[in-house]
Amino acid sequence: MTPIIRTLWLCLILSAVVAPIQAAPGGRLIATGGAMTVEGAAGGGIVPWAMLAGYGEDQEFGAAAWMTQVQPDDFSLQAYGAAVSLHNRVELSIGKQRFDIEKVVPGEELAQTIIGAKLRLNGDLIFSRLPQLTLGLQYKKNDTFAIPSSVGARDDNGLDVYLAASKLWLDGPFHRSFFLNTTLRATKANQGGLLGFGGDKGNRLELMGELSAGLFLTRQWVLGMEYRQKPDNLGFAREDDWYDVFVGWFPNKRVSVVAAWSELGSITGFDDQTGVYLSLQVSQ
Amino acid sequence: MRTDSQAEYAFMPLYPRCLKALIMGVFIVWHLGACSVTPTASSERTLYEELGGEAGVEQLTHDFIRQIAADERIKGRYRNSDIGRFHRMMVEQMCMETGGGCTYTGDDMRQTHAGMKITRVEFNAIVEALMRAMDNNGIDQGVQNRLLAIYAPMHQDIVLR
Repeated sequence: MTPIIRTLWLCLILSAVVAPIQAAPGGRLIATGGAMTVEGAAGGGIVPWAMLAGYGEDQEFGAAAWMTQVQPDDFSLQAYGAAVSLHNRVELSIGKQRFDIEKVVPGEELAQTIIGAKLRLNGDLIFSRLPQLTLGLQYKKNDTFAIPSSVGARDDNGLDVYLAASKLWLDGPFHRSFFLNTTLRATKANQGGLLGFGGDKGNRLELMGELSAGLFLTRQWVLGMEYRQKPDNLGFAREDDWYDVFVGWFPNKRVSVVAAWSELGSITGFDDQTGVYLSLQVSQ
Repeated sequence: MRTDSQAEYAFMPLYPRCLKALIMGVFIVWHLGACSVTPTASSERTLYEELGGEAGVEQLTHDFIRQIAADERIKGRYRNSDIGRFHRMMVEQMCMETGGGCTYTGDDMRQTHAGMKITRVEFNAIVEALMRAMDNNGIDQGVQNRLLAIYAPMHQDIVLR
């Protein structure tokens, strides 16, 4: 599996980084590619949205490469990845997460690789009356399973399946553009997969609700918030839902920056993990 | 007496609650916003007035057409058009749609674009041209959004017809 992942990596990063140098950005309107989630799909920070990565329209390619750092009180998460979209219909992504757990197990970290695919089923974020609807898959492979296994996780890999609906109202409250996304995800992932999949308290796919909302102060600046419900499958430590409030900046179609305050709840017994989230992406 | 850790424990659950309240707040604001958009009859200025009336709409249309003409993706579409008529019709339409009291005498959008197979990229390019023209005229973001929301539903009459 690993050589395949490495090859996919190289291809995606090359296409995502080289493409912007070659051609003008895609034909979708600014910010309609969203940002890139910490799991590699286009979306907010923690919730995948129905939009596809980058700015490619129905006859174009789109791409994005990203880096994210999250600093909850007792941990630190580094993530990076790349995605391409084909004809605004399919998105393929790969993401890598490294979660420093120095405080729990000195010298150790948790890591996982996430391969994602999205299919836009119907609709357009702005121009259709109904929301844009997208079906997504995330194959997650934990690369450090010894630790999750020792605390009761059942599998080192898992498949998340989600359905996302996104809509932007150009003339929303206060005559500002208003964005709303709801995502329904079937998952077994513990802490997104960093603590493996399934556990002693539960080993079935569960349906989780996720929500994002944002208000565009201008076309470049958006204020918003997100919520992500999570399973709680491991007996050794409670797992909580995630929340964040964010500011997104889209100076142009090439670059965007998202800063957030994240509330990640209890992680491996360390309660009330809150901290800064910072993400940078380049897109095409 | 409370110890420090108890006091801390009591405070901690507030964070998720605050965020839940914020999320609820968005929905409340959304509904309030929807209500406040309903015009209070005489007091709210028309969008036409917000755009600067006749002079404002004339200038915006002039700049809009210049932006279209400067965009490689779409300028070819207008090579054989009568730009004078295009300008007049655009002004009439904008005036009518924004409450300026004009009558639009041109063809409807579906007829005008029939057989042209305007692509989604071309439609977006026109939206971006309008955005740049509005930015260059210093038009307030809220007024821009109101105008864009009027034109956006035309997507279904214009694209790939």
